[in-house]
This record gives sequence, structure tokens and C-alpha cells, in this order.
Amino acid sequence: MSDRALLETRGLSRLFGGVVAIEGFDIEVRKGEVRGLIGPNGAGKTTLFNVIAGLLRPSSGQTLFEGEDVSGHSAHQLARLGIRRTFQNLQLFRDMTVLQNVIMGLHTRGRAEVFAALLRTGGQRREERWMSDEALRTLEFIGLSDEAQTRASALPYGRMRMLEVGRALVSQPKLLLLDEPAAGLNASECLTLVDLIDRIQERGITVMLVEHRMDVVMRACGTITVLNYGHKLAEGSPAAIQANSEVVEAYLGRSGTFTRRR
Amino acid sequence: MSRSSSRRIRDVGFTLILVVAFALLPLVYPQEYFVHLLALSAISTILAMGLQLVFGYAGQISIAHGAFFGIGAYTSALLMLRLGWPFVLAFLAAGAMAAMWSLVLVPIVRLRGPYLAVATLGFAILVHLILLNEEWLTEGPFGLMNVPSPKIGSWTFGSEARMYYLCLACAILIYFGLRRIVSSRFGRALEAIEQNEEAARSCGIDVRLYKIKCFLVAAFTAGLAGSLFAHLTHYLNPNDFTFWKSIQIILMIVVGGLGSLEGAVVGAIIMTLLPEYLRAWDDVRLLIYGLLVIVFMAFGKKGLIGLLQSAVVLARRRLRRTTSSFGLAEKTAK
Repeated sequence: MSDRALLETRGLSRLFGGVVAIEGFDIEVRKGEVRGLIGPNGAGKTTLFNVIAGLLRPSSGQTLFEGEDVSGHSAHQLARLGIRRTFQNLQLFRDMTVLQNVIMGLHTRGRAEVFAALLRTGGQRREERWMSDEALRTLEFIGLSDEAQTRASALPYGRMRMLEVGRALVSQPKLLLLDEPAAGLNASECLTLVDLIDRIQERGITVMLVEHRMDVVMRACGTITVLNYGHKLAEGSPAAIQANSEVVEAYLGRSGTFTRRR
Repeated sequence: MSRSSSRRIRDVGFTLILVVAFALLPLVYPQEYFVHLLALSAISTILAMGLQLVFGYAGQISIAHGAFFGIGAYTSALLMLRLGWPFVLAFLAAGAMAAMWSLVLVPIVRLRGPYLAVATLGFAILVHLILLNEEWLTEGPFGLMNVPSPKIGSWTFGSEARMYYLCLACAILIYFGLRRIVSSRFGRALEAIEQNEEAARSCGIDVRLYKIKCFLVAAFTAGLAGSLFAHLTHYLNPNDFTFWKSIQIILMIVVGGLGSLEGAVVGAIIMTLLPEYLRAWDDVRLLIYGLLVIVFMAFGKKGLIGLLQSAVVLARRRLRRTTSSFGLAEKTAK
């Protein structure tokens, strides 16, 4: 099994001061799957993403990516290895155009540095052309072609979310971490998102999805992992998770407590 | 497609007219002092464009730029005076030396905002103290005298006018070089860092490395400017290179407009010529200086160049409105 895992964590923990955000967390994400990550607020989902993406160092434990120990790698190294993410609170380059934002996602695929730019070598010009073609293709894929020259900060909220997905997607990552991509989207935008995630999976990209909107999670994910207080509470298919009494309890409280109080 | 190419032709034409105008200036106003000021403006332009890369594009507040200028000036002067190096080599060595010294900043580039500002201020003070105290090398507070004029082949740049043309040519070359850099993958990475460091990191940009490279390029250009300055004024004094020099360069790009090379050019020329023409009111010179900066800040980050651009846009819109209303009038007349 383990040789098919794209991402694996072993006993991963992260503390903030004395506060435990995640503790002894194990997860195994197979290549090509869409894995949902749910749990009540403060369960440690975003912390887990930040550790996997290298924005936070783990306090202990390991992260293996394609079988290689990458714990403690910095964010830009992991991005280069093929782990890309979006942020819960949008992190766009607000003063750049939509196209430029997506081109930034291609940084690791380019090679031209200062001298190549100064001399405007053939390779550099070819690379620039390739980057903007590639970015335009991605804009088409996420349905933002018509906004290529719009300033990112001028986009409607839902399209900003799509743009961030596009920026993460353009480099053909191996693992895409989506942190609450549906937050603030309306019902039809959510459907578009689910469809987009399906198409991303078809491209062979593995997706991890943190999301509060259960309709999105249940539709998009093959397997769901539930976190509570930094621990893994349950794992299984959407149907199994919905039927799991522990999960229901974590979200809604113990059944009957409400009536007993009265 | 044709629209962008016609825009390109217009850009090239505009640049050409500017270049020719600047080249003709010493012929129209041949007073030596004025030409000297023009040469200083060209040098300021190089300084401002270099700092623009660090400050305007990458968003890093650096007060070290004047120090790199000083390092370049002393390097070039000393190499020619003591070792008899030819100008071209001394000129390039000045850039290289300044770039090398920028590596001193490597441990502090991870600092942000005010912390970086204070650390680079420390660097500026350090360099000034070295220039002041290492008398065996720099002649200390007496300064370096009789710095020779540049010579390229059989050409000696002895007169102010010739020096001006040399400085102008360098400034133009550096302008085009930097323009290529800022519109490249490297330049975009710097802008990304300025706008959102976390997002830049998650795009795979090694933020620290790019900041180091950015300082390196900027320091190199400042070193080149220093070399030109040394051979223009023929005399160097450590007090020309205190942190106040860095502040002056910052003022240039703030007034001209952050994040644009053209803004740096406009700001550098104004902030170099203005104090000279304010000399008559020496007591209030700094006051006027300061007031101007406050006024320009009120126009926002875009500075003078931003003001100019919005004026052009406004004028064009008005023009279009009047022509379209003409069209309307014709229709109704029919």
C-alpha cells in the first residue's frame, strides 16, 4: 500500500506554545485521489495544510512525499517538488492582472534569470511565450479566459477563488491542497467548483480538500478524513462518514445533551 | 496585435525624442555649471533606477544605496589613481565591488519593513565610517583629490559636456537593461514578493535568494554610478556618502513614483536640479524639500509619474468624448 502513497505523514505534531494544534497525525493519500479533510473549527485542518506545504515546521513527526522525507522543507522547495496550495483567506497578487497571477504559478517551470533577461536570449523569449500560452490554457480550463487582462483585485469574489486555484494548478502539480475553496461561493459556483475538482482529478492530479460545505465535500471526495482536536477521528467513504456517530457527535455535540439540559 | 505594435512604435519614438532632447541640452545651454548639473542628474537617474528595483519593485526598504554608491566611487578612483587601471576596467570593478559588498547584507535580507530599514541604515553608517577612518586607503576626511578623467581608447572625457554624454549613455543603457529585467521572470518574482510574500513562497519563489539577487543587481548599478561620479567631480569626500545620500535617493523615487523606472528618472532629475535652484533660499531648502515629499505622498504611491499618467488618460478620455459627441451631432443633423 505504502508504495502507492503520494503523501504520507507519520506521527505528525505541531504545537503552538503549549497548545496542541495537531498531534500524532497519520494520513496516507494515494496518488490520484481526492481526499476530503473535515472537522469542527479549530480541529487543526489548516495547520495540517501549513505543515504539509512547508509554511510551518512540524514539532515532531515526518512527512513523506513520493516516499521521500520532506519534513522541514521550506514552502518554495515543496512547491518545486509539486505541492501547491490555495489559501483560506485569498492570497493573490492583487495589483497584477489575472494572467500575470497565473504566470507566477509557473515560476518553478522557468529558468531564465537576470542575464538571460538582459541579453533577451532566444531561450528566454521562448520561455516567456511558453509561460503566457500555458497560463492562457489554464485560464481557459478554470473558465477565466475573458478576464485575462483584469486586475486581480477587481475580480468578483468567486472568480478570485478560481484564480487562486488556477495559479496553483498551472504548474501541473502532483498534489494540490485546496483550503476552503468554496468559502463565500454561491450554490451555482459550488457546482462549478465540484466539476472543476473532478476535471483536475481527471488530469491525474491528487487533491486534498479542506472544506466546511458538506455538499461540496460529499460530492467531490472519494475518501474523507475527519479531524478533531488535532487527532484523526475517522476516515472512510462519504457515506460511511455520514453514518459515523462519533463524527456527528463532534459536529453537533452528544445526542440528547440539549434535551437533558432543559 | 497591430494595436500593441503601434503602441511600441509610439514608445520607441517617444524615447528617441527624449534621448535626442537630452543630448541637445548642452548645446542649447552650454554653461559649464549647468552641464555639470545635467551630468549629476544622469548619475542620480542611475542611482534612482537601481533603488527602484529594491524599493519599488521588490518592496524592500533599503537605506544602503548611498553606501554602494560610495563604494563604487572610491573603488574606481583608487584603482585609477593607485594602480593605474584603465577607466573601463575601473568602472566595471566599481560595480563589481559594490555588488560584492551587498553580500554583507545576506544575513539581514530576511528582515522586513522597518527592521530591514534600520539594518541597512547600519550598513550605510558602517561604510561611511570605513571611508572616513581607513586613511591608508581613502585619505580619510581630507578626501581623494585629483581623480583622473575617464579615457576610453584615445578619447578623454575631460570636459563637462563629454562627461555628460558618457553619463547619459550609461544611464540610457542601464535604463534599457533594467527595463528588460523588470519585465522578465526575475522582475515578476520581485513584484510578487512585494505584493504577497507568502503567496510568492507558495509559487516556489525562493524569497531570500531573490532579495539577495535584487540587492546584488541594484548595488552593481549604484557602483557604476559611483564610478561616474568620482571621475566627474575629480574629488571624493566621505561626507558625500553618509546615509543622507541614501535618503536623497529614496526621496527621488518616492517623488517620481514607486514601482516605475520612468518615475525614478523623473524623480532623480527633479530632486537633483531642484535643490540647486533652491540655493537662493538656503535656510528653507530642506523645508521645501520635505514639504514636497509630503505633497507627493498625498498623491499616493504613484508619485509624479502617476500624476502624469492619469493626466494623459483624462485628456485622452476628454478628447474621445468630444470627437464622439461630434459624431453624434452629425447623425442628428442628418
